[in-house]
This record gives sequence, C-alpha cells and structure tokens, in this order.
Amino acid sequence: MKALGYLIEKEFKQLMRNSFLPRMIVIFPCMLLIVFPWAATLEVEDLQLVAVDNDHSQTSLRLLHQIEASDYFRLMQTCASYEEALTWMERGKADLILEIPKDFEKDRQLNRPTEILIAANAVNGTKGGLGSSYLAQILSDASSQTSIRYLYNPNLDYKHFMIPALMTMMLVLICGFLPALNIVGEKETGTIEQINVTPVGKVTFTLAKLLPYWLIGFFVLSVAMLLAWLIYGLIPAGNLGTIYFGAAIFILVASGIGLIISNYSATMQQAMLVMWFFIMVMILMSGLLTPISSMPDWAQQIAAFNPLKYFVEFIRMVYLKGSHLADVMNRLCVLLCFALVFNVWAVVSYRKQQ
Amino acid sequence: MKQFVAFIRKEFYHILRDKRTMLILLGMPVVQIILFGFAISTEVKNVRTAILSPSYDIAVQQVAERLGANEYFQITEIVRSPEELQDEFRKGNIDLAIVFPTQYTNYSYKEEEAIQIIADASEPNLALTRSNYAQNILAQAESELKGTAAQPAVIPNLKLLYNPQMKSAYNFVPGVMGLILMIICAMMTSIAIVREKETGTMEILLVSPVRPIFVILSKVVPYLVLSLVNLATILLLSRFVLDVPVSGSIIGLLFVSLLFILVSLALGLLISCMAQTQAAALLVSAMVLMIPTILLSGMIFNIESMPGILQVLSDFIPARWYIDLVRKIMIEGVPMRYVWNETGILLLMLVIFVSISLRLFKNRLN
Amino acid sequence: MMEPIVTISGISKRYGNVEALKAVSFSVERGELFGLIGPDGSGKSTLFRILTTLLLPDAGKATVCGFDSVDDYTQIRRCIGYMPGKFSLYQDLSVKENLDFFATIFHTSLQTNYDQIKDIYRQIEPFNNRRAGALSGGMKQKLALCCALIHKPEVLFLDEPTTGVDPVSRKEFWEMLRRLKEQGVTIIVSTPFMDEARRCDRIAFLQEGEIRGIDTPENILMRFRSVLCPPGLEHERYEDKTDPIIRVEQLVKKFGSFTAVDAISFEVKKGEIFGFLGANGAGKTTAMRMLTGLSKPTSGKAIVSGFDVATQAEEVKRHIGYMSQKFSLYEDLTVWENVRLFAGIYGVPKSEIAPRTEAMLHRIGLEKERNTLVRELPLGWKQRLAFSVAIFHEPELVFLDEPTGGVDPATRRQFWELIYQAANRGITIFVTTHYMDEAEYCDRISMMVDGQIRALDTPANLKRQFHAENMDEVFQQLAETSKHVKK
Repeated sequence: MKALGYLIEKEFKQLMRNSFLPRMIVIFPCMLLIVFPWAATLEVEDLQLVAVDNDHSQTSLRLLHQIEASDYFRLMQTCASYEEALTWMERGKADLILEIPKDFEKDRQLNRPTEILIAANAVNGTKGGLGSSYLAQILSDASSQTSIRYLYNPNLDYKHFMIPALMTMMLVLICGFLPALNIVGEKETGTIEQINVTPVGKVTFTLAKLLPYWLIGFFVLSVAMLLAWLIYGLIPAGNLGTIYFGAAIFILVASGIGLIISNYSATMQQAMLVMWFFIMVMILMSGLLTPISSMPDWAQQIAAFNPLKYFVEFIRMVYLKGSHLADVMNRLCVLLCFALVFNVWAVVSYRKQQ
Repeated sequence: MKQFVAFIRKEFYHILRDKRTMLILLGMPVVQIILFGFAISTEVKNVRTAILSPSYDIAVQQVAERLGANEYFQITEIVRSPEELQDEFRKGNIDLAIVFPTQYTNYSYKEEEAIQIIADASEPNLALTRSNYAQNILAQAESELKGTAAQPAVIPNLKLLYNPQMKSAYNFVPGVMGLILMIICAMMTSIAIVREKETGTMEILLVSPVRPIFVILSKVVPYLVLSLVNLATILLLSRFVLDVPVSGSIIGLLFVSLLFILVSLALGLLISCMAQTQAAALLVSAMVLMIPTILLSGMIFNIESMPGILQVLSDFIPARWYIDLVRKIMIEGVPMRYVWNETGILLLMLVIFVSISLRLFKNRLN
Repeated sequence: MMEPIVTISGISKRYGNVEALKAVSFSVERGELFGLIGPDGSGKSTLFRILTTLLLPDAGKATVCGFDSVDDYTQIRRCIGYMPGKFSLYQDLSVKENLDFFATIFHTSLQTNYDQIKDIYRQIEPFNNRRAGALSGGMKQKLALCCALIHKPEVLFLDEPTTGVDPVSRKEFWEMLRRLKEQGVTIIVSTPFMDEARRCDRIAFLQEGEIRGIDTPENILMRFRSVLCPPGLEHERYEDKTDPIIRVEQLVKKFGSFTAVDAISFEVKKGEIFGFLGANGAGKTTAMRMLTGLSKPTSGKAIVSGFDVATQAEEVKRHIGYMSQKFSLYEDLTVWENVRLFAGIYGVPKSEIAPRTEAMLHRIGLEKERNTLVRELPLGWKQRLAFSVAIFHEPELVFLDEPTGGVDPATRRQFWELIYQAANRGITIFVTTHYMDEAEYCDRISMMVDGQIRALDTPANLKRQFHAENMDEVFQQLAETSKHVKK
C-alpha cells in the first residue's frame, strides 16, 4: 500500500506531461456545457407553417395572426391549394400545413362546429407530434378553465433538463473512458510487464490508476456546476453534498466498467470501440435523451440493469427538484451494488500471472 | 494489379481476424436499429398521476375515473394535502397531479379556482404533452358532468403525413445510417492507415514498387465493402423488421449513400494524413466527426431549434445533408429532382476533401 | 572503372536542434557488401531513410542506381529493397500470409525465390499457419529477414537486421547475403556485431553524424579498436557458491499442445553470474517468465529466493529485480522520476531514496541527465539506467533478458562493468544474451535447445567438452542438435 503514493504521483506526472489530456480535461467540460445544451434540445420552435386559406375572411386572417404571434410558428407562405402546400413540404420548406375551410367565418358566427385540417410532417416524431398539438391548442384555445402549472422548470427550458444529464456523460467519459485507455496504453508499451514483476498488488495498481481520475471527475463536476450557474443560471435545487455523494458512488461504477473493458482488450482501438459501443447503448437506454417511461416493457426491464439510468434519475431529481438524500436513497443503493459488482469483477479479471 | 489484389486481401485478413471489432462493426447497426426502432420513443404513456382533493366525493371520482380510463394515465395516488403532493413529486413517484378545488361538487367555487394541473416539468416536452392530454380529457369530462353541451369550438382535424403512426423509427433510421457509415468509413479507415505508420510497416510499403496511392486505396476498399454490408443490413432491417418502407427511388437512395460513403472515406483519408498516432486519429475522429455528427446533423436534435451559429456550423457537416437526403428519398418519397441541392453539396464536399488529402498525402516520412 | 551504384555527397539532416548527419559523403560500388557501424544514435537509420527516399536531406545530394533521391524517387523505389530497423510484421497475419504479401508487393512469389530464403525459412516453416504476433521475438526477426530477402533488388538496404537473432541464424543470414552478393546484388547493411562487420567488403564507421573512416573491416576495427573491440573484462570469480538461490525441478510450460519448456532442472548459486543461452524460440524467455512469477508453470517446481513461484509469486517478486527485453522504463518520466517510482514501489524508505539515487546516477555517469525524459536518452544509457533501477532496492537476484540488444561493443562493455559491480556486492545475476563474448563473462552457462537444457557448466569446461575454441562454436554445435535444424 505504501507504493500507492508513488504510483499516483507517477500517474499525475504522466498526465501533466501529456500534451493533450490536461487541455482536454479543462476544455471538454466547458465545450460540452457551452455548446451542447443549445444543440441538444428537443424543444420545438420556429416551425415552418404553410397555410391554405380557403375562406379569406377576417376571422381566418385573425386566426393566422394569432398563430404567427406565438413563438412556435413561422408562417412561410399562404398557398392557394393543399397540393401546392404539399410541394412546399416535399421540398423541406414546411413542417406543417394548416387548411382553413371555405365557410370558416360563417360557421364560427353561427356557432357551428368547424373542422380545420392540420397536416404535419411526422417523419420527425417529436417535431410533428409536438407541433401539431401546439397548433391544436391554439386553435381550440378552448373555453377550458383548467389551468396548468409547471413545477421545477416553469419556463419549460429544455437546457435545464439536459445539463444534469451532460454532467453524467462527463463523468462516464472521464472516469470510465480515460483510465481504460490509459491501462491499455501501458499494455501496448509493455511497461505493465515491469509493474507485474514488482510486488505491487493488483488492488494497489488499479487504485493508482483510478484515484487521479476520480479527483479529475470531481474537479470537472465542480467546473460544470459553476458553468451551469454562470451561463444558464441553474443552481442545484438540492443539497450540494448529496450531489457529490451520489457522484462519488457513480464514479466508482464508471471506472469499474472502464477497468473491465481494459482488462479484456489488447489494443487501444479495441478498447475504444468496445467502450464506445457500450456507452452508446447505455446512454440511449438511460433516459438521458428519451424517457424510460415511454419505452416498451421489455426495454424498461433491460434498462433496469443500466447503472446510468439510476444516476441520471438521481442527478435530475436532486439538481432540478431538490430531492433529499432520503428520497434518492434507493437509487444510490442500486448504484452501490453496481459499483461493488463491477469493481470486484475488475480486480478478479486483472491477471498479473498467465 | 496483382499487387493491388494482394493488398486488399491483406486488409480483409486484418478485419476478419479481429473478431471483437468485426462483431461490433456488424452488430452495431442491428443493435441501434432495434433500440431506435423499438425501445426509444417519446410517446406519452404510463403517466403516473396523483389526485389532490380535499373531499374525494362523487364528482371528483367521476372526473378522476374518466382520466384513469384513458390509456395514457394511471391514477396512482389520492392525497389530501399539498405537502404530501410535494413529497411524492420529490421522490419521483408521480409525473402529474390534478388539484380539485374545495367546493368542486357544488360548483360553488370561483372561476379562478378551477381544476389545476401540476406537471413535473423537469422533462419539459413530456410535461407539455402530458398536461395537454390531461387538459383535453378533463375538459370533456367536465362538460359531460355539468351537462352543458360542449361549446362547438374549432375541431382540429389532425393528419400526420408520412409517418401516420408516429413511429420514431422513421426519424431515426436515416440518422443511424449516417452515423454508422461515418464511423466505419471515416474513423476505421483513418485508424487503419495510421496504424501502419505507427508500427513502421508504412516505411516498407512506401519503399516498395507499389504506387503509394494504391497502398491507400487498398486500405479503403474493405471498409467500403463493410459499409455497403451495413447499409444493406440497415435497409433490410428497417424494411422488414421496422416496416419502414423505401417510398422513393431505391436507386437514388443507393446513389446518395455511395456518395456519402465516398465523402466519409475521403474524410478518413484526410485525418490519416494529419494524424501520426492511432490515439490522435481516434481523438480527432471522435472530436471532429462523431460528436458534431450526433449533435448537429439533425439525427436526434432539430437543427431549426438551434441558435444561428450552430445552424451555420451544421451546414459543414456532411452527415446533415445525407440524413436530409435519406429522410426525403426514403421516407417522404420525394422525387430526385427536389434533392439536387443536397446532392450537389455532398459532391462539392467530396471534391474538396479528396483534393485536400491528395495534397497532404506524403510519399515520404516527415 | 564502373560508375558507383550509390553516391552520397555532403548529406546533412537535422531534427530540431539535433544534427543527425553532418555533411556525409561516400560511394558504394556495384556488387559491394558495404557495412555501416556506429553507436546508437550515430545517424545510421537516418542515412538509410534518406537513401531509400523516405526522408529528404536538408543539404547534399544522393543518387541510387543513377537516380536522384529527391527528384526520381519513384524509379529508385522500383530497384531497391529495404528492411527498416524496426521491421514490423503484420501481427494478425500468419507467417505464410506475411511472406506471400511481401513477395507479391515486390513483384515476385514465394515459389520463385524459395531457394534464396530457405535456410532461415525452414526454421519457421513448421509455424506457417501461426500468427506472426504469437511468435517469439527472435522468430519474428527471422520472419522479417525472410520478408526482406524474398525479392532480388539491385540494391538492398538492411538496418540492423540481426538484432535479437541467435548466432546460428545470424551465420545463416550472412550466408544468404553472400549468395545475393554473388548474384550481383549490392548490399548496404548496418550491424552492432563485429563478427558481422568483418564479413563486409568495406565498412564505414559513423559517429555523431560524421563518417570517422571508411576502409576494410580489419583497418577500421584496428583504428577504432577502443570503441569497437574493447579488451575483455577481468572478473574475480565469486567463490562461496554453496547456497542455491534458484532451484528448478522438472519445470514444464505448455501452450496448448506445444511444449515451450520441457522439464528443465538446474540450480543457480548465490552470488553467481548465470548465463541462460539458447537459440530463438528455444524457450528461454518462457522459462524466465516463470521464474519471475509472470507466468504459471504447467508442472514442476521452481524455488526462487526460497519461495515457490507457483504459489508464492508475490513473495518472489519482492526479492528479485527484473529488466525485460522489451525496454520498459516509463518513457514520459524523467530519469529521476523513474528511479523514485520504482524505489517507492519496492518500499525503499523515503529518506534513503534521494541520496541513493544521487550515488547511483553518479556511478553510471548520468548525474547530468537527472531531469531528462527517458525517451530522449540514447539506447545504451537507457539500458544502464534500467539495470540500475532493477537493482536499486538491492535484491538478492536480478533477471536480465537480453539487456544489451542493439548497442556497440564499447557500450556493452560498460554495461558488463556494471554487472560485475553488482555481482561483487553479492547480487546473483541471471542473464540471457545472444552475444557469445558476453557468454564468456558468465560464471556458469546453460544452453537451452528445444525447451530442454542440453549443457550446463563453466565456459571453460564447456569449451573443453565440445573441443571448441570459443563459445560461438559450442553454441553452433549444440544448436545443430535441434530438431528444427535437422535436415
């Protein structure tokens, strides 16, 4: 165990001497937080609308103005016929077509039910679906008296939803990906052989590889939280201590996965590809981008074995809703189990002797 | 020519011998198609709903039942106090809550005390859709309850074109195609070339009588084949497993795919000309190709919703144009004459990348 | 007189601040066997790369086969063959596939030129379908030789082709070169072995990027004998050799159906310098890996420093030092940081590390390089440092796996002085080598053939037993008994 200090010292020296990694560790989270939330938005706005007004009345005009006034739509063109509007859509210049029937004004005045056609390009499900329901909502701007209150994110800002998820991704990449590549790198240069004939135990060796990345993980997480506050004005609603506590457990999980993969890979290319594959599947199945609750049952059952799912839920709950430690305890316990299993597996599969 | 064939055979050996990489390269499209096709969706269902009503009487019960009968909503809880509600939200047990006014049954509440919907908006899109659904159902239920015939307002007649069942596969298949072809052609090719530099075999190959450009071309061919295999897998899977038809011209689709493959190969070549180590090639591919492709190509996220500067950036991403093309040709069945624009841009990119990499390609070590 | 086939005039090349070549000029006649010798980092590889058109010279002019190396590089590439110092095979291709591939790109085939390479190829032919990556280091080098010699170019450039190859195969390789020369091929070859240098028509001695002399081998070796033929080392044989520190009984290692180490038994006494010799692929490295606890024996017993390697590998590791064939200090750490790291790993007390490091660096003459990155040191210095690091914690026993590959005789001699110093302090040395002059420096030698130990005695006794003049002959005779050499 005494050797641990020396090994960690060595890891840090190597890291600092690398021309690329230290820069990446600083720039990567900044980039991710500055660019990603703007790009990774499933918010739908500025939808291109083409209208076919068969009525040409005051009422129909007023309706079109009303639609244009909303943030969501941009009225591109008023076409003469539905067919013409369709060519707009085919050429990718319209997402939605609104067709106002001939006797629209008359019907409205007589209080007769009127049907308005909304045609949406549903190739992009989110866009088509959300767009048409926005439009429907404006149209039926109904006499409904029900009011809606949005908790935790009253402005429905998608960026707030994404930011905690981005922190998760950062931790996976820095605490899982980097140590894995590092170990495979030592395999490739042959220095691992030299370590293997020394009395350094496998736990010590593994720990020496991980600890620096854990520290970096915490550093990056702190930078990310600071940036989230400075750029997006998002402050964690929950306790900072809880966030760090959960992150500590999750870091163990991520590095465990990285270690297992590095033990089974001979070359960096292999490690990278395998890692990339698993991380991609895990991210897709974690509810980071799309909700778990919308998945079919079988997929939800698979997702139950995805550690990322629990951490994404955890950090969103604490960050956005201000959940207490007690509220998220069960999720942390599951994560702890994952951490245990992965790390035991990693230590067992690391071979000093063939 | 014999040399060229020998080279290509050697490259195939390399690929075929590394079983794990092979498995991932060929399995990735299958897994992605299955995930995107079946697992990933944004449809609203299983909305866990709580009812907060000071007096859970017959009227409240009727409305609540009406909501619960809907396939989307599940009434999981009936709570008495706002504090309890707050608690359930914080624990992540409910997504939506319906708050009834005190005097609901007697209609003696004031207008501004009407039913309130509270949504957990930490996921904003879902919150919006969920609460819209709930609002509609509640409005119907209420008007029935009050006996007043619904005000015949405007009835929107919704028509979802091209993807009537709102399958997310329609949206994702083009994206998966773009991403996978990009990975195989650009990333794998660049690594394969740089690996020869790193191990030192490039020295001998350069000194051999074979023209250096053929050395490079022979590295490209197997990945071209591999990506065609993947393209076929994706198309077959999406046709027969996901039921996503190719509604446009299949020839056109193959043509633009081939064009995109060539663009990606040229990009891979470009990276390999600049990178000296495999690690560098990997990182450059990841930073310059993968992340921007996932983010800015419109495969998951809408380009229109991004700030202007990112939209401009996305114009430089080849996958963006390819995904656009596939969406139009394959899913919307747009005739080819409407897509010359995008095709032209890809062609232009191909010419630019090829000429830059030919210029950078070195016949010597540096 | 015929036009020289290779002429070089005033070639200079610098990398950043380092001048690799300073106005080098010479010419090579058609059909000549021309040797390049010089210490590591003297610019040999750079010269090869310029001649093979891979690098552009900063100044000067080189012509090969009458073509200019800068303007007509495509013509040059058509008429030359080249084997780089770091010849790398395709690890995932089989032996045969590698050969076929290189044959085809040089416009020939294995059948056409089989005779040309058969002497060496026969030894690896049994492993035709094995992947190159699974071959031992020396076997890989032999395959690389075959790949480089498969075609018959006008000029052949070979950059240290025999590093890590056993003496028998080296001899065969030089026979092959001689036959090529008879067929009119011009050969330019660099080598760290002086017996090989003697077989050239002329040699050039390159030092610090400058040609110090070009002449017949005899004249050059005479003129620069202080560097190239240093006098042998004298060493007081250690007397108290009663306690065995290594005891091996019927040790076996199998990989599948292949028996790499076939029931070997021997003892190494405390304080002795024990040479562990054998042809490439005879099982030396495998045996050594078992003794150091890196690999588990299939059966048999080995006790190292009083601990069983099969069950107490970690205890063994605490008591030994190890320097591997594949050079393995951390290249991106400085000299001082490497020493500190390994000292710390072996539990040298913190207060002792600094003074002992200073003393050690002083001893090996590296005190000025304290803060230099290991990657920037010349190979000979790295080897001395690696050895000193391996014995820094004063182990009872140190394993050295081909510690002096690829360096000139003077540097090797300096290295052996260090070994003797360590031996005088009572450290047992267990060393493998392909240099037969080094074998003479050992107290006792074992010879491995096909996984078995065929001879074990002092060098003097072995020479007497085999009626040989030097160790080289002993080695040749023993290697003849291998089943792979039998015709």
